[in-house]
Amino acid sequence: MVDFDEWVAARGDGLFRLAYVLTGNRADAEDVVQDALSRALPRWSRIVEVDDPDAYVRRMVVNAHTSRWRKWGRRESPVAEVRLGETSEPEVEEQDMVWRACLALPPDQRVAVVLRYYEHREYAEIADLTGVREGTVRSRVSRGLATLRHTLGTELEDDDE
Amino acid sequence: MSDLETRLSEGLAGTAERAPHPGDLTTGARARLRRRRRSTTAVVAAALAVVAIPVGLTFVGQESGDGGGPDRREPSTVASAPDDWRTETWRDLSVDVPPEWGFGGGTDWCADGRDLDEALQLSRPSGIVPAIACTPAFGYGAHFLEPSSGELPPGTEGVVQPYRGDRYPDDAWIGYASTQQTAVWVVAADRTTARLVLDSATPVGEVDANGCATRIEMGAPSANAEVSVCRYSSDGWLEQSELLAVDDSRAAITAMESAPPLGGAGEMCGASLADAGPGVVLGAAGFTAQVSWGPGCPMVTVTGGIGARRLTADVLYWALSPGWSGSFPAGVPVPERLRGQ
Repeated sequence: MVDFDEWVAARGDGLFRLAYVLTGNRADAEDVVQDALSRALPRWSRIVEVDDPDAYVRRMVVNAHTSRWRKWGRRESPVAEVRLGETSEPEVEEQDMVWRACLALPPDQRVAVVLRYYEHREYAEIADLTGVREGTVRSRVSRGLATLRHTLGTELEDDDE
Repeated sequence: MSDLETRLSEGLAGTAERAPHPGDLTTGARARLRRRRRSTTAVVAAALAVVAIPVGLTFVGQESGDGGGPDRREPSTVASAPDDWRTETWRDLSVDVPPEWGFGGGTDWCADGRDLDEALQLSRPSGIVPAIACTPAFGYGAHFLEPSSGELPPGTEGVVQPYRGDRYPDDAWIGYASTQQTAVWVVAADRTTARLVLDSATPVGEVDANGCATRIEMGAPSANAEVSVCRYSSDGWLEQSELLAVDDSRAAITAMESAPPLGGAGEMCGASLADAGPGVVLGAAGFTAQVSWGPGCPMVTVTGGIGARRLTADVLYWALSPGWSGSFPAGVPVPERLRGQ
């Protein structure tokens, strides 16, 4: 059986990056991942026997994130961590701008968009992972993209001024 | 994929690549699991207190009978410290420490002229800290302090790292944990001990592992036979907690039963613990006793049957956990020796 500590050592960074993209900052990302792992630990002997333990725990991370923002009364307003110093890399600036725009989405749209475009999941997988119908997932992704199209299009116009 | 979708995909991937490195996820997960299990145990204990009957103990003529409630001695941790370690709490943060760790102000090794290795201590801000110029400033042990005191050293919370400096022994292994109200510094000669103690650091929701509420006004109805000894500061925060062994619990209860009653209106004073200054709450299944020794009003008030009693040296002996340091106003019956001395 794969040891829990060894598995986390190998996969933990990946889980953390998913949570970081969802939450916007390191502290919240650690909070979400540790919460998921603390729930996985007592069940570890059963989790390692499923077909894809990695996907199973990633699902727990997404659920922990969802539970977290629901618990706090949907007042979550993630703020992307400030990057120290200016960057002269336009690619990094562009990626940062996209990420901040994504963080500004309502949580359910943000989760759907991240799972679709960061995790590259199919709509059916996202539906299964988030516990909603596939049609709802498609709607959330569509509305999220519409908002991002407007936000990122507006920011590009500002840059041109 | 549209341009927007491509931008989105690349933007999120690039962000993830530049994400900071997380702390020790495994350790954090284990700490959360322990905290969750302790909170569950405390809730169950409080719920059972209404119907619990002490195990093998009599109090105010109650018949002994079958006990109820969870056994606090049952391990509740996943990767836990050895069974003989004790739980120490200050305000709303608990740690488990080895039995050989004593109590003090953290600088006693120097004041007493001992080697660092001989003066392993659990210190609290209220402990005696002699004004001495020693290097290092603090010895090995676990040191509670206020997060706002500005004394938190560098490093990531929850991470054990080698130390270089003058505040703690050079080459020590150190780490810290904190809540909004409390921080604890762990300083050990070896990494394993530092890790075990730091791993045990647990924020306390309402009731700690010794059965004491973090705030005096909250109360912590007990369902167990063992007596919890909960000392509170004048601001109402839990200063120290202790769970007496069964034999010691019997002795403490006997001391309270033997204390002479407070009789007559003229002898009643200090209706609340807050009026009487800092005090101690002792609790077990079926009773709660408040021990106070404010000026002119040393008394023990017991709920559960026997009412107010005059404070005696025997009761005070059990009310003061090892490591207590302080003074008494005139008129308070002081025990010949304190526990732990």
